[in-house]
Amino acid sequence: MQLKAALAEIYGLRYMIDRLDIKSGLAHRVLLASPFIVSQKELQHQLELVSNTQKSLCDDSTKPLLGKVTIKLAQVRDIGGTAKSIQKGVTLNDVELFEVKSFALIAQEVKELLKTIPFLGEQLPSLLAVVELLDPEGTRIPSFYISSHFDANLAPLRKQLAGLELMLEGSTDEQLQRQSDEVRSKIEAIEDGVRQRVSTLLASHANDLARAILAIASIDILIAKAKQAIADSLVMPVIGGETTSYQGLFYPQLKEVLEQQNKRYQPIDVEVNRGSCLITGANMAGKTVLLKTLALSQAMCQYGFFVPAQSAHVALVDHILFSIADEQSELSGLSSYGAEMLKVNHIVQMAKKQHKLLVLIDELARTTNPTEGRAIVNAVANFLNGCNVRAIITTHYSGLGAACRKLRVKGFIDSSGDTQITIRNIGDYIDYSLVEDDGTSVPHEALRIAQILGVDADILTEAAKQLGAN
Amino acid sequence: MPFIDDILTYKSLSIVGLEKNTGKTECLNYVLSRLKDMDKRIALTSIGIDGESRDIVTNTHKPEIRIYNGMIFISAEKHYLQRRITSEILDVSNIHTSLGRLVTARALSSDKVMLSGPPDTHTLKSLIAGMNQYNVDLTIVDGALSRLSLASPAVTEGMVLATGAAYSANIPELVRKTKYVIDLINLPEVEPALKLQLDAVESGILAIDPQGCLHDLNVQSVFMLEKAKDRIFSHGNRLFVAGATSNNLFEFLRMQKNAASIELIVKDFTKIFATPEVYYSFIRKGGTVKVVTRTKLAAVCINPVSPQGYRLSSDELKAAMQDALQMPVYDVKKL
Repeated sequence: MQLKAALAEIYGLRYMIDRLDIKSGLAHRVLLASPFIVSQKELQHQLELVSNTQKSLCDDSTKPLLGKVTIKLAQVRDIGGTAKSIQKGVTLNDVELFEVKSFALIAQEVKELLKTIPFLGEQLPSLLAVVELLDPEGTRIPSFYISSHFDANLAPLRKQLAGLELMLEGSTDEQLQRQSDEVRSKIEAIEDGVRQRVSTLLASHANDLARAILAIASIDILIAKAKQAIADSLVMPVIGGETTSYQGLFYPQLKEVLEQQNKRYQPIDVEVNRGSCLITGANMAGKTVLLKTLALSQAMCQYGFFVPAQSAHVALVDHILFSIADEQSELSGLSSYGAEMLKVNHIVQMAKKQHKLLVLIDELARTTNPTEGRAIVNAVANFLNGCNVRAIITTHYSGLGAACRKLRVKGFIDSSGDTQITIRNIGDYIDYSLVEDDGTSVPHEALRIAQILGVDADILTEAAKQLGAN
Repeated sequence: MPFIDDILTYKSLSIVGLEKNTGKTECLNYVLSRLKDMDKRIALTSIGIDGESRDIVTNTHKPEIRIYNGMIFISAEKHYLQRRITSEILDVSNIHTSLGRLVTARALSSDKVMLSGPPDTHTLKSLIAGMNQYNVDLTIVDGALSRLSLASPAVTEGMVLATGAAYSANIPELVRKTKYVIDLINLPEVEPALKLQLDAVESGILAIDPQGCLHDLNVQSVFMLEKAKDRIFSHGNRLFVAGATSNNLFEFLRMQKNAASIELIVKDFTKIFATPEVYYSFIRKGGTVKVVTRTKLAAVCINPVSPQGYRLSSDELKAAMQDALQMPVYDVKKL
């Protein structure tokens, strides 16, 4: 899956991508087309590039150079379309020739700047031949026209035309007009010839140009990724193995929002093993955020980004699949239960095909009756436990008999102090960390939370009465 | 040499026609032909599409714009590639128009070109600012159709107004219609202290009390005025409207008891969209209108010939116009 498609599926990914300080539209296009990397070797290489770039950004001897490179990158134009035309042997017009020239000049300057940072510059081929072709004067200024350096015949003809035009000003002499038209068409023929000749010569450098376009884009992307890693305290994940584990995993967007409000954000430690794992916990205990964070972190890792954690081991997967409630189901004409079951079925089918998956299911079967719902949770958990997947399923059901791992969010901290818990400070009284659990009972804190939220006392008293009656 | 020295004191200049075929292009060609021998760097662009050899709207002959060696011009990709002039591309912008991206180029010969520019004044403004990097002394903007908005001092410093038979084929009528625009252009500026304050206000309607303090009336535009009728004069008789002002506003103000002491302030003359009748009846009632920034009018040009074939007497028109406007008027055909 290309990054572009993943943006619509992975919560929080767009936020990270939007905040990348990418300089050129070209790099942005290339970034959105980047693949989900499943090869450990390739991903390792990508992550090391980010890591090395990060080091260069922190090193006082190379940092100013990268600053200069960034300025150059901001001037890059996307000549992807023109490069394709060159490859196909199309004759370029002046605007396209200008763009190729200015791109080649920038690429050469970037290459020169990166001489002392070879790991960044080595993918960038020399475009000196292209520069020399389009800049026969050797001024190295990014402006373009078909000057007489391309064809010596142009200068005298242009001079002649200027003279004729001068004589023609205010005159209607037909012979002069004819003469001027003749000279003009001679000039045009020469100019067209130059465009053809230059375009044909450019075609022999088409591969270098295509490589340079990608290299320039990837330099831009790497610098942006490394800057983001520094700014957002992302970490280079250790990849491979069978178990994914994070220390201090966080959801960047939420962390930033809470920090702006001077609220506490609690990063969590979590281990995702092969098989399935059921997570229980009170409402508002951060189960959904946990799933979203796991998906985001996995995606960032496999698109070659550092991940939002203090330290991370990430087992690579082929696909990230999840079922998290959204508002789309009604639009597709399905009930929320119907939409959920189809998503779960898709997950099961993918698992049956031996795909290596990260599966994240939020409150499975929550919209149906608890008896059947519990049965579905157990069935899905049991089935996935035997597949090549890492599945996390959150639920509010108790008495889960599935033979898989079970975790619980610690939830409410007993507030012995006299501070009143309110909707504003509730976050301070929840411990979001995960503990092993047996799954026989679940936290019963729905009423307490409803009370904190300020739900009408009539309902709360009646509900408590009902509970007592049972 | 009429009005050229005046033009050179500006950084940017718009050439605006009150109607199509009022001689705007001839006027521009005159200006350019005079500027070519001066030691000044000139840049040229337009708003929207211009410079086509046939006028698309009325299908009449329309002079092309002649650019001289060394001048910088901006045109959309499509027009640029159709050019006859020898020119060097300096930049291709990321701004897309219906005719492709905008190309900035330097003329290396002298010839006629098709000009086209950004479709909106906001982009035009940043484009003019960008001409600094080429050490341009004066940027001239060729207006399209009867768009006065680019003559706003927020976009270009000075303006040349082209009017003529195409606007009205009857001399007194033409003079009257033109005089209205000139009256608006010549509206007096507010005092410097107030100007400084109002320059920063981008929207809404404000009351200005006798001490010069601003009070936001919390009305987004004059179309919502109904809601605030009772509060409008709670801080005195001075009113500032940041956006467009319509007939409705002028009629409302005229009908007030205090009409004679009302002072309406607008950003600049392009914000007044009232018809002459409604505007003048407010003035006759004793009302005052001022602007935050006044437009500098460099010249008024007339074209006595209309695309329908009317040909007014140049001398008669010129005399009548000068008499009414109290400023020199030039016939584009005789420049």
